[in-house]
Amino acid sequence: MMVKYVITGGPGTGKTTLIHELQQQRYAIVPEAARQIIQEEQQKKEGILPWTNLYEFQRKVVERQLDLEEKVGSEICFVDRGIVDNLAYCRMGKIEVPQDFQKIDLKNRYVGVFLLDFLPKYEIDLQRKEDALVAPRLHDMIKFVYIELGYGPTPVPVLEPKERARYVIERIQRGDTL
Amino acid sequence: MKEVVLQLSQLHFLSYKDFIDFQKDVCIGCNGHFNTRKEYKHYNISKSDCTGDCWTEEVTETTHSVTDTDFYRFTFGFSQEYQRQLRDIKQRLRERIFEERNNGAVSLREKLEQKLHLEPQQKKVAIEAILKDYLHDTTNLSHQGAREMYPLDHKLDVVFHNVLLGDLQLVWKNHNHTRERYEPQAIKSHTRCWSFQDVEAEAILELPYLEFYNSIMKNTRFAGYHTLFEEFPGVLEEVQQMPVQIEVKPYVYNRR
Repeated sequence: MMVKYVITGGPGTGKTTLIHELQQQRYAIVPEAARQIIQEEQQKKEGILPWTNLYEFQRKVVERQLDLEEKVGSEICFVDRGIVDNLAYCRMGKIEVPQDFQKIDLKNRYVGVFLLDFLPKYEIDLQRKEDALVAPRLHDMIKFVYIELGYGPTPVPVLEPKERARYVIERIQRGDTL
Repeated sequence: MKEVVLQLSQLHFLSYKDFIDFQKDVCIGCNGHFNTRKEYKHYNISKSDCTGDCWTEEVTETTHSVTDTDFYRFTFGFSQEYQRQLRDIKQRLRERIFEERNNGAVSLREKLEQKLHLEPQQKKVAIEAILKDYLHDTTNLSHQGAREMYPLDHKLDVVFHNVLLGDLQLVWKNHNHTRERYEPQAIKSHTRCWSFQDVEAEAILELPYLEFYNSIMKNTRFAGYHTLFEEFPGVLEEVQQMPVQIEVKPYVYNRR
């Protein structure tokens, strides 16, 4: 069994950078499924993207996320957005939650959740088209759904990636993430 | 002299490029380049293989000699006494960390038992994984019967290699195995960039570590030097009065 910690937060909070930093420091990671799917679907003529078909996109993300989380082979691993994040995206998009969700035990899936504070400058890239005004609302919604499921997200302040990684590891080693 | 072959793993705060630059023609004070001249030497070497076949190969050795003369060449070192003191500091630090980790593991387990709300089996696995990670540095990773190997020892070796500015010492101690030679085989500093006492002939200066460090380590190429010290606070404070012996002389280009 894996001991999974979620690294989450709104778009532009530095999750992927932190995940890469943790990977450099010998930890297993699960990359962000949504980012992978957007990259793949953008190559197709009529790809399924969140801004074209959010429901189908979320269904694909959950399927991929479950697969990616199954594949990790280390004892402690960090997940770039947990499956719970998809719940927040569904609520924000006012769409029905995909059926696959209902079979998953979301309450006991992760040992801890780290919620990253916003970086001073929000960068929009090709895979990330959320408007800068929507991003804080999404951030709050993500926080809300984790709390609703019984998690106590640990806030992670804005720091250099190395220091952020150390902050996260220290919180785990002090048992402060639960 | 024993040939030392540089492996990338020997460098900890300099990149390989920076290392070669300092060997070749870069001033440690301002990162400016000195003028150099290339000299080639051709000679034959004998080679043989495992079947007993012998042959000769012609090789070319290139020497890059600095032709400027307005600079000091220097090397530095630490007395045996202070190297012994450093070993003691390292040993004390190691023992302290082992003790802290062992005590910390007990209280972490208690805290996790109370705070982790998971199914019993899931909780057991989670606690063991978190503790295993917490004790990673102080866990013997070698196979049974082999020499003990703790990740902490490797980290401490690197920290103390950095305390002794080990990467810089390699600049003149390392003779790389390519056929490139660099003259002079020492660290180079423009006379205008030299922060210490001026000398007219070969001299040995003795300075506190902190003074030497504050001057030399201003160079932006040494940014990586501090990374590991953050994990082991207090080490630099312990060594700041340690004397560094600098062997320095103005450079004279010997035109052949």
